[in-house]
Amino acid sequence: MSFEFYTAGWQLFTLPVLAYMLLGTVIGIIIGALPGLTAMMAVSVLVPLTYTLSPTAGIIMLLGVYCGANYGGSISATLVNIPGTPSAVMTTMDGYPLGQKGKAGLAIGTATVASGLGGIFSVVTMAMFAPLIANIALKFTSLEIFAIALFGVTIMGYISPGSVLKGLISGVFGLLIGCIGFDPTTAVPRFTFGEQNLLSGVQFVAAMIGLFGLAEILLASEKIKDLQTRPELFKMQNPLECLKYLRTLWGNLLRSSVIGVIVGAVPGTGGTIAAIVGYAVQKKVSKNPEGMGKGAVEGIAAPEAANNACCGGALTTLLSLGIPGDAVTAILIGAFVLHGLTPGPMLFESNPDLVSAIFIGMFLIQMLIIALGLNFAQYFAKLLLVPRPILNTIILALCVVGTYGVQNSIFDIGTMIVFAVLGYVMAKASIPRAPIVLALILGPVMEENLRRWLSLAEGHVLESLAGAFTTNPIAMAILAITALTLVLPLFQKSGRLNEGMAEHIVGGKK
Amino acid sequence: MKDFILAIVAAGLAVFIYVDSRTFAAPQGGLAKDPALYPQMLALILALLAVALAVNVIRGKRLNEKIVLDRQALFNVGRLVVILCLYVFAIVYVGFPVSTVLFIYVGVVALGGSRLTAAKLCLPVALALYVVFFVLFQMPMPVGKLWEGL
Repeated sequence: MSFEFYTAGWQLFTLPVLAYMLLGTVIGIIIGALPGLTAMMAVSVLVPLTYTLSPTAGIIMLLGVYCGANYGGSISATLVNIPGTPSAVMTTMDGYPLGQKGKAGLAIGTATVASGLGGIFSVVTMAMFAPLIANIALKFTSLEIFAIALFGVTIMGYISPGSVLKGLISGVFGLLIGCIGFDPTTAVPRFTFGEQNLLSGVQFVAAMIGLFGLAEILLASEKIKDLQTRPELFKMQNPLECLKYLRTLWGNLLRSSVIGVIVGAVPGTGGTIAAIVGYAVQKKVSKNPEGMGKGAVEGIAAPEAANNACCGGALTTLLSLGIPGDAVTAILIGAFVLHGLTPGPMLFESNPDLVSAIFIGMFLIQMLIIALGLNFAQYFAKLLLVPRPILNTIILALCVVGTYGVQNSIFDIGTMIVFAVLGYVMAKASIPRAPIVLALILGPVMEENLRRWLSLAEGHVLESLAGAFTTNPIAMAILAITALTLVLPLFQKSGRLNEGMAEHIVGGKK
Repeated sequence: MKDFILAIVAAGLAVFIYVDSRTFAAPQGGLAKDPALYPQMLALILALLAVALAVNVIRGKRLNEKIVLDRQALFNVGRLVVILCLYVFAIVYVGFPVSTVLFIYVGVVALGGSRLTAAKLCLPVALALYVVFFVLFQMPMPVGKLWEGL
């Protein structure tokens, strides 16, 4: 990619776009700092708000929410021992003990700088690799695109916390929901049951607000007494003290950032896994592993750098292949679609200014996180004292109004409520919800490309498939891996992965 | 037991999808033009996964695991869903401003907040939402059937 490509994004330096970037980052940090409110919820609720903004302003604002929330989780993890977002779960291990020692400022400062630097590293790798991958992906045929989309849904189901089988069932269920409406090739209505509003399919934004926004509030409303408790906060002093430790943390930050980017680029993973891997690796290589878990600065830097670096990794596959790296980027696709854009290799050809603006914007967001975190973290923390009944009611109203705003449809609000109840039931049954969202997005892509390939095969499906081993080796390799992923759980004894994490993520935050 | 119920529901859904897909009018043009092909493929995969899940439950002797129902929690969630549905109906008939003021009050109280706080907050919060969505972001506002003739 040329220098002109990278500088095309300077259009983002307009007052409204910068203001929305700041607003998004602040909202993200606040949402992230509040336990029970996730980045997924924030992004899904705010997607409709961006409808009237320019694509650049809207997407940059949502990226601010995404990155800000990933960082914001560390504030409550440190100050009240509750991870604000699941990805801050490892930060509680050392953040809170350091706060107990009267060094909450140092803990927050370390988390802020590590998050920002991890994020900057990921933005640089994203700017380097996304155009390269997109360039390769431009040569992909319908079989490769189908294979990648299928792999994305399968791996999301496979890696989701809890039972692999339930993750895969959730993914297939999402693909089936994606079939509702007119058939893309023949315009035959499918599974609409005579309902006119379903002819154009299930409204994606309404579905994701229901699954991740409203469903979280329903889960929180189970125990009304818990909503009335107010946490006690540590006092924060001198977060800049962390700069003294920075010299000793470079290796840790670099290693954890690389881990974050790699984990983020694998579809279906996300910040929580990145933070866990980052922390575990740091404990292995640490000169003082016994100190970790007792308030070690390196124990805060590793997961925070890893979970924020994850954002760039997840966005790399989203922008270059159209395959989201995690659930939040899956929801972000909704924002692209809302603005008439399709993430993937063609975006680099059709909207280089927007892609470039995303690279530059992501970099600025990381700088904002550092600036806001070091200066205002104590004020963000005060929001933990806002009574939850008020906050949750406002979010409910936002969900309703936001859903209505997408296409001025009361039917969409009904869709949102149905998906919220579905999301609630799924959470209670420990069925991961993220695969549904990804499948809803990738389902039509999969079907369209499968049928295009079948059309090209002209009735000689088996011969074409055999020939694809030589003509489309990448697609066949991806399909083989996907088939293996699908078949493996059938032979596993329990079909379960990482129960503890499942409790934590699927069952809502404690 | 929860997983076994899920397996049965998934299997039932797979059968329904497969059977319902057969009613789609398929134009001439082979597999690529068949609107039922893709959903039927998915239904088969779903059925396979459902069987695998059921087998896992039986092999893992998890069939007798009891489902614990927290009636109070269910009541709280159900009440909130009903309030939301009423809010949607209210938006249709009395429009966004009035229904949101009422919703904020009822919502805060239903979620455990005090009536006084709810009363103090309902108007400013509704006003703030109105300004953000309908003034700042210029989204069309549902006026309400009741006021349409006025």
